[in-house]
Amino acid sequence: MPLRPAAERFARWLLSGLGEAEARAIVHDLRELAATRPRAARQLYFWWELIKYPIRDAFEEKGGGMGMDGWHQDVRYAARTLVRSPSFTLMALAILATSMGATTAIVSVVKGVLLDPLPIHEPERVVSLWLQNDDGRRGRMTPGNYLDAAELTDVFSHAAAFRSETASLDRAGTSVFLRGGAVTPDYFEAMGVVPIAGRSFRAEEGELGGPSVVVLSERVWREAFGEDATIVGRTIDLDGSGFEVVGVVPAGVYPTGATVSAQLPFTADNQDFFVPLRFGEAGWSNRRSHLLGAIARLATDVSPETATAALETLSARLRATEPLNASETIILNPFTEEVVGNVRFALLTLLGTVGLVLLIAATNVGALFFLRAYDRLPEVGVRVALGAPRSRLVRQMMVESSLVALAASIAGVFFAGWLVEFMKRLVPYQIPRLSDISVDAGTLMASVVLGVVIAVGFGVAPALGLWRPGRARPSGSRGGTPGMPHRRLQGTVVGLQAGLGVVVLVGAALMVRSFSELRSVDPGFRSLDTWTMSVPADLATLSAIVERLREQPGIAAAAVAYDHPLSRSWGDGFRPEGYEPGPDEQPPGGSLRPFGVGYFETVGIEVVQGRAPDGLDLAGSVAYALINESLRDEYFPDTDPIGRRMELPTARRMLGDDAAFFEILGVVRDVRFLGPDQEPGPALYVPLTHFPSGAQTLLVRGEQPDLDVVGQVRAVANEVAPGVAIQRAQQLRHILSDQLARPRFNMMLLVTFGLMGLVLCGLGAYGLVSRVVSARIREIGIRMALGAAPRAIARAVLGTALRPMVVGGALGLATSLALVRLIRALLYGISPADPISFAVSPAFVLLVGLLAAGIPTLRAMAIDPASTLREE
Amino acid sequence: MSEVLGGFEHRVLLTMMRLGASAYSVPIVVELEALTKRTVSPSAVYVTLRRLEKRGLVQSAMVPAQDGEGGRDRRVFQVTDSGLELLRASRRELDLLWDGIEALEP
Repeated sequence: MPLRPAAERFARWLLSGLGEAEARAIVHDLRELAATRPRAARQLYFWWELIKYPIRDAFEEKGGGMGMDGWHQDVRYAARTLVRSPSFTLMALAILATSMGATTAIVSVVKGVLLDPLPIHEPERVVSLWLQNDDGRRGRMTPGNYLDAAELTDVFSHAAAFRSETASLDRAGTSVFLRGGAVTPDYFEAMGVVPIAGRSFRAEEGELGGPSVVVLSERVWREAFGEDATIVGRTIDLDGSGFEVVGVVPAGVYPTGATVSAQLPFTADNQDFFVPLRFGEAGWSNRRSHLLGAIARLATDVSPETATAALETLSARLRATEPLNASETIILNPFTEEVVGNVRFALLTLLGTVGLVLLIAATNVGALFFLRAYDRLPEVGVRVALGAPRSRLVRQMMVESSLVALAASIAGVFFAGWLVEFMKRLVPYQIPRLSDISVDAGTLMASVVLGVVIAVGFGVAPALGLWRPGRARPSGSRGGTPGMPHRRLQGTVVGLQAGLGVVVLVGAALMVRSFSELRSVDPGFRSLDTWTMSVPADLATLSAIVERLREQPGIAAAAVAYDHPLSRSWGDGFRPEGYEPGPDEQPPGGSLRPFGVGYFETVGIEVVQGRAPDGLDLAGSVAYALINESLRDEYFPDTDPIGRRMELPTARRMLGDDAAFFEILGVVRDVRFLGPDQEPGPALYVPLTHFPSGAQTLLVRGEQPDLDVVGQVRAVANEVAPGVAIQRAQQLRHILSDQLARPRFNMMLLVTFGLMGLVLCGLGAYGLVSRVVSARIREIGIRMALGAAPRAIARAVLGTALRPMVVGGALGLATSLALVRLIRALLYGISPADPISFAVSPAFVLLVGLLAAGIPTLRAMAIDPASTLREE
Repeated sequence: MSEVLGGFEHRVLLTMMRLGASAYSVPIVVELEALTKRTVSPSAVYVTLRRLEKRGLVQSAMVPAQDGEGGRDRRVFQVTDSGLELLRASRRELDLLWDGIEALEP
């Protein structure tokens, strides 16, 4: 029978009392035996038989071989009583198993992501380097400043710079699009990664004009080369030229391109390959262009503080000597922080929420056990009268709760394992290590201990108080109305649950509200059905494909562009002609978006002022451009921008002084390039005809959304340029949906926990009211016989649950108000004190309480006074 | 203490005899279930074997994995001479008790 590694560890842990070798042998024996059972029963058989081992062994030890008294009797007795009250047992099991399972799953993920070290050598010594300007914004390094920092060899043992690189890998007539990085030779040493085959780069390979070499990722090695053992030394074809493979690096956490917004993305598919980063002398002395990401490894015994101090000294010198660095500081950030920094907050929120749910569950289980202890008072009385020591009775209660906790732990472990798998498939965060996460033995053990503590603590402690000598009610006593045990205590528990439930629900409601706000944000373009695909070909070929596509039936529009409208595209500096930024101002610039004819029509971006250029405009010698509303509002607040010129320094560098200016022909609506929650900022649209920039994106819209657009494009592309690859075909709708994946994920989990909390609150209220009804059945009967209206009875009964719930709910609201400020960062478009969330959540809790309490209340109203009186 | 075999101990020992000189727990459980047409808990067999071992009626050893057995150690048990002697004695006792009770024959 197959067993997951975590399950096997857990099984061995359960048997650890028998010795390690013994435990291993038993687990194997049981697997072998389980394989002889019907398939469906194997897991159950395995675990059921497994837990008997330590139990039987314990009796064997205590009983000296023959006797099965003491603990054995307690366990038998406990098992029997539990089986005899299935509703209690099942409810306690279900509550504990689900809440502990959820907690274990979240704790496993948090531990795997936030606490476990990265899969690199001494990750705490790796830092990332950034340039921070005086208003606190950090940005990428310039080549010159990277070299300045890398020269601090007494604080950094290795430093490396990198930027993103793409290539098409051509093999046997097909090509694969790869994303990776150009890196300086020390990159892998700085990262602390040892290649699994071959070597990393040599210093001379970083020189301009050095050999064409490449290091492949394990994934590409496996997927594109079938783990070819002879890959090292082979020459492969990248973008039409030969590159010698010098090494293969294991899957891991490799930064390749730093983004303009100063983040290191870590998605697995941008770590395909690495080539040496090369600049000429002039390139390396550039202190103007923020092009590079940088990492460094701290030298032995150098603390991050020492390194920071060294960087500050360096920055102070640069401020004085380099005009371009006059308002900049080189800062460092722990590498681990780059990897998990942006997920920590969401994960901790989840952890806090699941903790609250566990607390609600614990109080519920505690209440269940407490009432059980109360119900046993007659039995306890008899046994005490017969001479049973009280310690023995308490021990028995303990055994009982431990049995429940143990069984719940086992069920919870399976639930947790399932949840972790589920989360792994869903988690939209860039967590490279996520795929390795499973429920580990430590978390498992903690979960079992937690379960036992909950059950024993909440179950036995009240029994101790309840079964004080002299309190034991003699069996069969019928003196008057049996009082409710500690009704106030129970009311407090229900109130507490309502309060916690409100807190959890407010969190969930805020996420739902925030998500619906996000979804209702206008992305700034209309044609969500437009397809985007990348086609590695030159502009002439792409234009020819577009021309042919436009003639196809069913194709409504097509265009070439540097990138689709939901991409980061190209970040660059640009400014209105003659504009001089003030001394304290950021160098002007923003998103540069090269486009081809028909782009705005294909994507559905509205021109709000002026017009979009047509083919004739673009064929002419004047370079036209469009700007977005944000750019207009920032640089032309009071003037008409049409006819003014924008200056693009990159175009000057690439094409000469004459090509640096673009005349504004129109203003288009703001598109939220990076997601509905990201402000667009200034954007400049320049034509590919006057700013040739390696465009590889085709945008195509069909007349019907369900048309096979990709198939048509493929057919046309093959006619125009046989063998050309169509890659990453996606509808803009899906990209937009991916941009919402994180908030959607946060929302889903918090709503799940909110519902769990709600159900648990309902169970608590139900439990309380049904106890009240059954305890007061005679009193109610007599009152009804004396003429009390059923409605009055109902009010009294319901009140026992609703009063504490109202009080608890109010306290919960106050607590929420204090706590929501903490999750402000996860919210969009609503205030943390969102009135709707704060109104709906307590209403839900009360409604569920009312429904749950309603069932036993109806029972109370249906009590027949006559039969009650007869019984009297 | 006079040596007496419990019912289950008796069954386990006899099953081991049927299985040959030495056996580990899996075939014992399978054989017992087949012969008695009842489910047998492996943990019961385990504690019984350990108890019999403590009484010197069986002996055991961890046998390292053989090739082709999935690479695992197993504890192999063997009935000792005193175990055999006790089995014989209990058989004689039972035979004596059964002697002459023909009426129960089908």
